[in-house]
Amino acid sequence: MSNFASKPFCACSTPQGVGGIAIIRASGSASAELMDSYTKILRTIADIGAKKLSELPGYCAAYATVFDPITGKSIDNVIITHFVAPHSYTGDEMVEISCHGGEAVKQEILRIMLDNGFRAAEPGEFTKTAFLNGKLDLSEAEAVMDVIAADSERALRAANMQLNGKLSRELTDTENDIYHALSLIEMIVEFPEHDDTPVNEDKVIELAEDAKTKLDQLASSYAQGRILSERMRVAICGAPNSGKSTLLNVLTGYERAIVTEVAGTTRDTLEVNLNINGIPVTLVDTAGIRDTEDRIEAIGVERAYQELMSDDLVLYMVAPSETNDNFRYYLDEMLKNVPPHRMAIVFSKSDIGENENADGMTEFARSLGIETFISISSSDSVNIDELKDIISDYYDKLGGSSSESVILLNRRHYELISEASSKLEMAVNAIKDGIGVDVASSVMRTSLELIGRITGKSVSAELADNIFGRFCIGK
Amino acid sequence: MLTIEKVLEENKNAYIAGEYDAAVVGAGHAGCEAAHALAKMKNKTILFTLHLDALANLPCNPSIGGTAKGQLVREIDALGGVMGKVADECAIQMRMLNRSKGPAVFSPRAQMDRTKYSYTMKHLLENTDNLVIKQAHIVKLLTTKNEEGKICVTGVLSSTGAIYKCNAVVICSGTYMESRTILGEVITESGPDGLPRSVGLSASLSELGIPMLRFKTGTPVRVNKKSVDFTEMTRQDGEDDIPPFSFEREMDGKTVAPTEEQVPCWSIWTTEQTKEIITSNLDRSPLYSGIIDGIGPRYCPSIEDKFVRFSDKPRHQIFVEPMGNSTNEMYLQGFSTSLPEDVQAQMVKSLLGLKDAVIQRNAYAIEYDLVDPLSLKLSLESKIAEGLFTAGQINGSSGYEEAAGQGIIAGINAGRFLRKEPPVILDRSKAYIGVLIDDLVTKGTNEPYRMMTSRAEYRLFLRQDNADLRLTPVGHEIGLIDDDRYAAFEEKYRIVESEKERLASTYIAPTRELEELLASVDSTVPKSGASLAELIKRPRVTYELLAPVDRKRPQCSQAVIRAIETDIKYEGYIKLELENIERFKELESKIIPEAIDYENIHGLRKEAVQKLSKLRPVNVGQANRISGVSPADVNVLIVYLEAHKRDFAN
Repeated sequence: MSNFASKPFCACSTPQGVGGIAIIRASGSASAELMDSYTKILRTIADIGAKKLSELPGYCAAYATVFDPITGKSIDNVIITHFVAPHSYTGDEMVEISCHGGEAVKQEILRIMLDNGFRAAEPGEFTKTAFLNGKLDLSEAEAVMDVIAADSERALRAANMQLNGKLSRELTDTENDIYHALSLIEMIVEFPEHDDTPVNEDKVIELAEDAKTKLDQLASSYAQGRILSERMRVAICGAPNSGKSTLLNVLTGYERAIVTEVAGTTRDTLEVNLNINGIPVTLVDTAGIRDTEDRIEAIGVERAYQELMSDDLVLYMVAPSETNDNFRYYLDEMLKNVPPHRMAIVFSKSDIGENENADGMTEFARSLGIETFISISSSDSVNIDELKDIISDYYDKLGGSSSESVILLNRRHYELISEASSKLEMAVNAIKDGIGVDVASSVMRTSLELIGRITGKSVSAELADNIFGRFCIGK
Repeated sequence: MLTIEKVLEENKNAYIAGEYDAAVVGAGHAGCEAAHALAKMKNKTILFTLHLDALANLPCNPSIGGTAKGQLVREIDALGGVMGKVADECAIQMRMLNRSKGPAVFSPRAQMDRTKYSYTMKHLLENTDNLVIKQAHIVKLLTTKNEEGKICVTGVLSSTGAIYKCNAVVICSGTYMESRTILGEVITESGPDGLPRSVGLSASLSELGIPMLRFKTGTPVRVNKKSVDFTEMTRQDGEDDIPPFSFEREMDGKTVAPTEEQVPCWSIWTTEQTKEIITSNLDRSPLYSGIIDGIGPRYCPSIEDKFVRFSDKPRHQIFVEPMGNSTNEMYLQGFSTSLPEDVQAQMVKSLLGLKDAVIQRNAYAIEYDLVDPLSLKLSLESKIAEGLFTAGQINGSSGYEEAAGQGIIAGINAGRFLRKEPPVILDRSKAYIGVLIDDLVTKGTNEPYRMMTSRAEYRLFLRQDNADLRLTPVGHEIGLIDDDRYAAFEEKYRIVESEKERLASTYIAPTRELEELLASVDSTVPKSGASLAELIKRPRVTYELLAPVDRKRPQCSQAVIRAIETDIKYEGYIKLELENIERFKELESKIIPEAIDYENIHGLRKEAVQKLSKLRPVNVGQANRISGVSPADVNVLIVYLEAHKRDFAN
């Protein structure tokens, strides 16, 4: 075995940025022994009595110090857990260091490890190693990644459903339809001189269309699945000083944005991740939308318009002081970028008073196709829960699905299923246009192959690498 | 292991009868192709047959081609083989099957004049340079151990003690090795058609450690045409203008026999009475009484097997086919049986139009020894004995065309072996022959393997019409296709390409004339007109149809026109197929180093380790096709190879 492959590797497993603690993982034989020279055990449960990390039994943790082996200077006091092969995530010997979350601490510990026997993990290498050691199969590996990525309840539920095989069961049903259709074709192709086996083209078409319907349903669930895996983007926009940042603060529960009374303070977009009614949401606080002479502010306004295009839902904030003309002008502008069903009008600051043109504005907005309106007060917390419901209703309407059906979470799955569906359509058309059942069967086989790339029945050269490459380092 | 020295020492009749580059044992369809290819590649070759009058015998159905098999014949011809040429000369009826089902499954099939086929092939081979044909019974393979300790071939020994020295042997023993025919309770130690069987050769292979299997197949009765009442049968005539099997003939603009000279086939059904006779005599069938222990073909079952397995089906279709122009014998396709002679007579008389039928030959089952094809390399060389190649039914296949397809490859690779050149391996995206060999060698088979179009993943590309495009360059490179033929081939496709270009760039205005033309096939004229190619893309619109509006068209042969039409009409689908082939090649190009130790790969299931260690696939694609190796195993293998790239590079 080469040095490269056998050299233990390490990486920080917790997300970048400052957290309370961070976890650094190492995997490979003699990982613990390598670390003996720069760790010192301070305390363990009495009956373990390990003096060195390498003496620590599997599944045991120790309170320890990590120090620089050259200067002897202590870096951090940490908790170290030891896993003995094959009883670890990767199946090889592993060490997990829970250290304090500061960037400097993490970097320093990693530097010492990299200088002393470890190499940096490649993307997805922990899972790749687990897979290589027979700890995971490919679909499990993918589901693990989705679970890791899914940080809200609903996403977790959908990911669990895939882990439990619901997705592959649905796909197997579809495959069976296609196999059935193919067998009808093959029978008449292989034994053409026999008169007693006419092609039932109608049946072939029916089966292919059934399969296509199933695939289309799955594909359409990705509207929700995308949100579960990539979060729902909710933009808060409106004229300066319409209460955008205040709403953001109320929804996030702490002062994330600088809220001032000066118009145009929020020059850049600001994003906050949070869960609203179980849905992973990224709230985007935009610069106030208005024509401006200030160049820096103008960039912010430009960004705000661009942002709208990629958002799922746009909350248009309207303050009591907003004039009718301005409201109409900017609404028109925004609707150039956003379809009306993705927009909700939020009359803000109801504690200060009602906008005197509210009824006219509502009527105007309705005439443009907007259907969602609400009046709130962020400072008095009036109708904030209702606003949250507007956000989760938007999500619920996307799928029209009950919580029992499978939701596609993974873009790769979505693309493969959409492609498989379009191939079935091609096959059906080939039969209907009289082009030939041979062509239809060839295209149907392609669609089976595409489905097989999800269920693991087809193997493709780049598959394994792609999947592991998409894992964050250290997962 | 039997060496030449040992034979000379122990066998008082032994003598050195000759020295050759290669010996081919068995002159059926595989052996003829192998010997022809070897000789054409300028190897001094000897071809052995048990009986010179039965060379290239058609002991079962008197036809060549059919679904997937027709494609095989075209491929053999495209490589420079002989089956297609001889079949064209001996055809007495020709049809294109699956005409309505699309070009990928168009399959030419021809009824053969059986005796003519045999002597035409014999004469062709007799006139082939570098080739000697000899009637002899080969009983032993002679071998020695080379410096590396590997078993390698040194010659063959005949029953008369003649030793033929050679460095490569191709065995094409068909159904003859230790064969016995079975007719009810009557068992005869014999080859097919009452010919002598091969004794001893099988044991000599087994002694070398080659794993052997035993299969069974069968053939139906032959009746005298005079005794048949055709008024009760449905007539099936041949078709006109069917392209010949041979591309050379096709390029000369020739078709096979004109319709008026073709002989009809007939189709009938079994009756209630037939079913009754069979079911009430099942206890006398050697299949069910345990006399036959070889495994029979699922795709070519005996009639009693059909009634047992499809008991809900009241009747089965039977085809009555002529055996040649100089005989009255008619073959009952679909009616093979091993029931006793008296039951056969009753069964035949129960069929429509055969009430008074005179049976000239009985139906019988035949059991024979074969080599487990899992012990072969993709080149058809044995993994156990260097220089030993096998082809045809000895490798577990069924059918003349399957045999010939392997024969030409075994011949080619025996020739390459003699020249110390790498073998020619056609992959699954290149030819049906490639699919056939890969299936046998990688998956093995537990019944006589029949080629079917559905076994080919890329059949939209593996068409009978483009076999030359796929394989003639290979044949030329090997030396089986001469320069003249190759130049004609290149010219054909140059015309195809330039005519396609012309069709794409020639615009036709929406005239009254065009409107009428298109209306005749229920099509309409696009408002702003269209290019000729766009028009041909439409359903039912053909190149021929557009002749009146395409006045400047050059004179093109039928073959060129068919190639152009297929390319244009199926362009999108063929493109998709080519993309699939690209994907397929990704796995095929991941070579597995010979030194790999599967025991050391964590995560491979035990079964996969065993299978991979035994079969030693050459690439990941082949590994993926081994039964017992799951996609998950293959993924493990891919990752392992990726992770250890550097180790293997060193």
